[in-house]
Amino acid sequence: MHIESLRLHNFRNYGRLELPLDERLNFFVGENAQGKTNLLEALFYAATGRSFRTRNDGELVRWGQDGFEIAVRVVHKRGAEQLHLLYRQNPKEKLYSSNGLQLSRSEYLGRFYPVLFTPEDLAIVKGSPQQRRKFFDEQISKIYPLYEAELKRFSRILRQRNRLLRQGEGVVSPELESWNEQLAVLGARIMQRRLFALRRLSLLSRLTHRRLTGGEETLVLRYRAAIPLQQGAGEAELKEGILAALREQARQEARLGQTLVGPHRDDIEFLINGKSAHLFASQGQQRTLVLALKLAEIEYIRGESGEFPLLLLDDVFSELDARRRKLLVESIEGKVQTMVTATAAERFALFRRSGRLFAITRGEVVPGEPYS
Amino acid sequence: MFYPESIARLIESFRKLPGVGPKTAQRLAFFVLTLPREEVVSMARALVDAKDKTRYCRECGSFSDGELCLICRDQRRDRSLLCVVQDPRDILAMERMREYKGLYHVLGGAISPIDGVGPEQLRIRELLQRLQKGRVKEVILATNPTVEGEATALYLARVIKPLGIRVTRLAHGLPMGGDLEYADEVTLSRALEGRREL
Repeated sequence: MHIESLRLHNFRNYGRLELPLDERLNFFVGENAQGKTNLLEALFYAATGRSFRTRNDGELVRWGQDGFEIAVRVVHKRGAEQLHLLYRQNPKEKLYSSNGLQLSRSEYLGRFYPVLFTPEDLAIVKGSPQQRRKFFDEQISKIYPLYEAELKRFSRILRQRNRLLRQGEGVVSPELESWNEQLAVLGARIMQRRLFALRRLSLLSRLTHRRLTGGEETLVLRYRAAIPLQQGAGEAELKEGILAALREQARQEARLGQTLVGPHRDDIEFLINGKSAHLFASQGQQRTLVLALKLAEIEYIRGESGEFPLLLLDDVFSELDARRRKLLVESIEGKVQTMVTATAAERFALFRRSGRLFAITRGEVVPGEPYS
Repeated sequence: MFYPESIARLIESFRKLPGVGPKTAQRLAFFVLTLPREEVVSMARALVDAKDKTRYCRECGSFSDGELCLICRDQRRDRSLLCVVQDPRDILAMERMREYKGLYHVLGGAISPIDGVGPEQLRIRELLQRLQKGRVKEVILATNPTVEGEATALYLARVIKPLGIRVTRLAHGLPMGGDLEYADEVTLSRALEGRREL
């Protein structure tokens, strides 16, 4: 899979843009705040129908305009496809189409998959459990279109149940029972999906991590749940586990006014040579770990969708040292179509194979000579 | 835009209606001005009449013009079957199919702690009183498939079952007459979960 061209109209700081892209590597170079990341954002949006920087689509519209358009030409193994996305504020609408054929959002999604790597990802090891859950949830959403709706429904149940707990003022309300069942059913489903994705990613990241550390370190991912996890437990067992834990924690929940059991409390633990990375990993080890995870994500998507994803590297080269930059480049070169943003053009020299350089200044893109 | 006070008030009134935005409200208001006076008077009268004369059925809680609604009054209906719905409009939907011959009970909403709605705010006590009379053999829970409707159904099942009455829930699944390929994923996955043996 690769993107052959990107066309924008009134997206962020771009008026009209037509960009032919290199099949392997595209390097967007420019000063800060010129519009480099906007290009990655547009590609991400074309794949997922949303931005990775904001939930408000209105922010993506060029100043003074009413809407934007993104068009990409994707070349799959089975042939080329012209994707088109239109967003308008007045009247509000968002239209998706493929080869001129209008599609619903759910029909449109999954045409191609982006893997995004930004400096914020480097915080995943030391960051909050919420950040780690988000990382895994995103992996699952890419592959299972239903997952987003499940998470949404679950958080609705949670909000209702927490409100009920707070209204109880410390007393266990008999009404809770009617929320517990739903919480347990959907909670078990979400945990099941996460465990499944975790097993895959654990396997893949152990391999990529080994490669990055020259075989010296072994990475293991472990799911930490508020309920005991039996090997090979199915959804039914998980549901019973959640219900049992809810009964056990009923008093505590009533006192705190919070739901203490469920996938919203779980965490993912990274172990390097058996030791918790959260507690013990050095700065350098953390970065290697995140790199290994991202490379595993590429393989994961290839395994699930049958095609390599599109790799979007937003300003990560400045955050990695020379050795890790080299390792990253070696792992992706020639395999995955990659879009890189950077402030300094010399980093381009890292890539030995062909690619294309683009200079970005205030929403203007000047394609450089193809590089080889 | 500057309107005479009377027109501005009319536009504001229309805006209170569900689904009516500023532009539609304006269009409706100007349309009213073009109507003959009698027409406008009868429209206004209809509004006030509907409000004044509509009552709630003593039994089921649906809209009615008397003590009891048409359905509760109808002696041909099966009094051993009771269908519980959130809203009177759900009764209209059920009645359209002309299949169901039992009675109804309107809850007036669904349990939703966020909105301050608990069992006490719904017509659940009335429901239990009806059931205690002993004629109902089966209660069909037809609350919406939302998180709140589901919680309400589970709550009702828990309080009704000890009375020894059969409790059932409407199935979720595929729309009839449609192709499988056009079903959305959520509906399809619900239908898969609720599959049955042939």
